[in-house]
Amino acid sequence: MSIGLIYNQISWEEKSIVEEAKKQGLKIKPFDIRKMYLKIQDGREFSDVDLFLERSLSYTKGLFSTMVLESQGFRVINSTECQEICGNKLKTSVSLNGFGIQQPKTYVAFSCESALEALEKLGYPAILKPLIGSWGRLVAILKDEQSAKAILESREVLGSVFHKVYYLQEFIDSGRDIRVFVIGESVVAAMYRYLIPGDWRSNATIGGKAEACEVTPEIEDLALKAAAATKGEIVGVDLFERNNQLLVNEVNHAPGFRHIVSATGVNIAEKILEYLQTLE
Amino acid sequence: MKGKCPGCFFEFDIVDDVMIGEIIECPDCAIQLEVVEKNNGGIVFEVAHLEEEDWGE
Repeated sequence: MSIGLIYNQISWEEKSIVEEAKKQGLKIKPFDIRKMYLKIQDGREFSDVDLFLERSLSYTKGLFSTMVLESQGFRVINSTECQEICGNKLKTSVSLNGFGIQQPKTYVAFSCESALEALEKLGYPAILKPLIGSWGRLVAILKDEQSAKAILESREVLGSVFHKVYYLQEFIDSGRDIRVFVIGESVVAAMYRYLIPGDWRSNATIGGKAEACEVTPEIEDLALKAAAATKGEIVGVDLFERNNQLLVNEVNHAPGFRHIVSATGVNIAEKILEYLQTLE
Repeated sequence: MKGKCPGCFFEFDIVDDVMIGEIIECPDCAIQLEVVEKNNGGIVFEVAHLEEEDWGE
């Protein structure tokens, strides 16, 4: 099997996939998305590639390259449909809700004024998230009406059109969240991510401490349901704990795995490649 | 192979199988560097671009 690896930087994860492929005797062909151009007509390019693993850090470039490669007949993991759902928090919420999956209480509002009305129903503190984005970037905690007004008004003036669609979510104050790594029909690892000292976010990318988490039947069941609801084959499912109940926060379609490997010892790159070989 | 950090000009050894696009930390100034060229003269780095609005995992 020959795997095309789409990337825009070779970070730890992509390097470990390339090294693992060498160990397993698999052909892997890296494609730097910044140097790619793709034809729309006349069928398939890349006769030396069987399927693509999309690992672009850029959501937009990853999504559109996947769309074109799929139109040429390639299998791309994750699919355009999955990337569209997971890359947009509102689409994720709607998809999860359609499958009856528990998630934090969420509202969407389309003006500063309607957002403040929604916040009255949601209660403070609440979280404002951009529809597209990751690593906790531009996510804000709205502690009270005054801080909400200040932040919403600044987005109204300074933000792009996407920043003026207000995705508002209840704040879950559990001190940690759980990242669950799903490959195909299996949960392969899970870790707790603790709040960053002096912050209210837990993203390992911005310094949250990571620790192995036992995969209970409840965690496994919910993560697999969330992956299915978002059409994900290789995804990171983020869970919150609230009063012994698990809630799905987000599903990530190009999940990093450096921290979960170091917390759990699970060889994620090996498992990704084993899964891709089952798709032949 | 050798490469020079464009930030602090420290020259250091890199493993031969380093890939174009790979992110390396300068062992001297700890800045994140991206490998942009491999040739007989060694490795060429640029300071890595580490975040854009739609970047994430």
